[in-house]
Amino acid sequence: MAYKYGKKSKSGRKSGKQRLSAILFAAALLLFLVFILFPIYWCLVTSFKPSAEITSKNVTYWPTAFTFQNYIEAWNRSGFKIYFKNSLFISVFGIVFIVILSILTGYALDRFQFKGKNIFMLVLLCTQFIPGAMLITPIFIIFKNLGMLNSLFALVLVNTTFHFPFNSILMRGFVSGIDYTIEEAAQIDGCSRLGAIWHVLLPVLKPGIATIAAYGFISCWNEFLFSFMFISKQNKLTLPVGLKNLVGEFSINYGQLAAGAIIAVVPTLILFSYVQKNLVGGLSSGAVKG
Amino acid sequence: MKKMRNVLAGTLAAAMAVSMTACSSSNTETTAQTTASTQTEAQQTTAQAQTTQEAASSGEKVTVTFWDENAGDERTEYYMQIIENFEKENPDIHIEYLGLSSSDALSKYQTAIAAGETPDVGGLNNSWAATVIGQNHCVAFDDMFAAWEGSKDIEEGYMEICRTYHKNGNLYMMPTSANFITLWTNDAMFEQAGLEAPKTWDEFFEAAEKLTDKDNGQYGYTIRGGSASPAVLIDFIYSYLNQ
Repeated sequence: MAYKYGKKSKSGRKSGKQRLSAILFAAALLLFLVFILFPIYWCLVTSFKPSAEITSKNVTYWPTAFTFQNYIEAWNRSGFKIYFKNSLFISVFGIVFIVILSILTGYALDRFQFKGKNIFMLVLLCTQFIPGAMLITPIFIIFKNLGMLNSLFALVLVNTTFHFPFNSILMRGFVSGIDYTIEEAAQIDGCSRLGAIWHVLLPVLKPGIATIAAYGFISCWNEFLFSFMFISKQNKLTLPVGLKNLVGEFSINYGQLAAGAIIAVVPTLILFSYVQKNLVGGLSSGAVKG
Repeated sequence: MKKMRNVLAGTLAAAMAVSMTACSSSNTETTAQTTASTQTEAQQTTAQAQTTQEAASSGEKVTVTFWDENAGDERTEYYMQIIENFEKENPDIHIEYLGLSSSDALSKYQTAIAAGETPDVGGLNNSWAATVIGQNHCVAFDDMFAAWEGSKDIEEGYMEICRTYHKNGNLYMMPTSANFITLWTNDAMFEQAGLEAPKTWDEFFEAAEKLTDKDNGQYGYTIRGGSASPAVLIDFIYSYLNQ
């Protein structure tokens, strides 16, 4: 059968040249996908191998002796049960505060006109330039004087403070994409401004909230520096610190490390799979203004 | 508008300059890792330790915070066992253990020292000794050590090493563990060649020569490779020179 090159035949099937380029494109994408996913696959497989098999000279791509021992040990002996609970506490409260503060700040930055608004936004952006490592000692002393050391709430506070300025500006973009007229209509019908926000704005703002909640959760979940510096009680540590403690000076327990990493990744995966459809819409809608 | 642009440029430049110094200092901390062959414990006399002493003598239960600078799953378990035995023998003392990963423990100690929230007892790696002693974070305890009845149980050579960490030879640390370099012999090969395991360095060199057969790819002695191999070689050299 002869196909005319460059022309789609009437039946809608692709011509030979187009099919070839489609196959090459798919092959390249597949290669890229394997490159990206292989480390995750390797981590998963390593977590199910006993430590003798992990360090042996024969590299096996599927465990010959499948075992859950690494997970059991990481959860109980290495205390990941406690670290998971602490990380969850910090992240959940963190995103609650971040979302509330970002919505209110973003709304104010977009809808209100006040003196010094531009300077305020500039300063807000400038605070993001300061690295956290520089502020450890001052914040430590402040928390010590407040008696808030070794408290998970201190970490919630720190995480919220460091992540909500950027999220406010992001939220400003989302809010500016929504016309003010619907809120005006709600206020004419008798809502207060806050009521208008709650009843009218928030449902429309769902993609923005999903975006901010997802990224806020990841930032709080992965936060290492402040959790390490401000907590000095073994039962208040978080997951990143717990994972770091498995890497000893002379030996690394690879099986437990892999199991711990998988434990740490699972909530993020679940969260992203839930907000995914909101997320893709949210990222692009926040970028377009007016 | 132009004035605000200048103000903005000035603020950004200042923020960047300060952040650059912060980044460079944290980098040098994390790269200061050398393989240490002994680990030492530095006693930090703080007001907290004094109050725990007073409370202990009055009979109520005191809590002693202890930081382990090289936590790993096995080492933490080992320490928990030691702590359990200690608490059984001393029921009025409770030890609170915190494990730190060795790569970040120094920065945590320095933050704690800067803010005044150090633990009652903590372990430090002796590769940090120059930094910590040089910053005047440690006190010399020569008198306390001399007055302690356990001081004669410790090998004098170890204490001499500890004294070399300060220019005046004062004692700022005490060892908690040490590594030994061992020489392994392959008994089957020795029996085949009719040799006994060497007890002196001359016997060692003889045996190494006799067991070497380059044509068959057999060598009398092999040194361990990797990053710590010069350390092993140096230990052998010192041992040979001191016989």
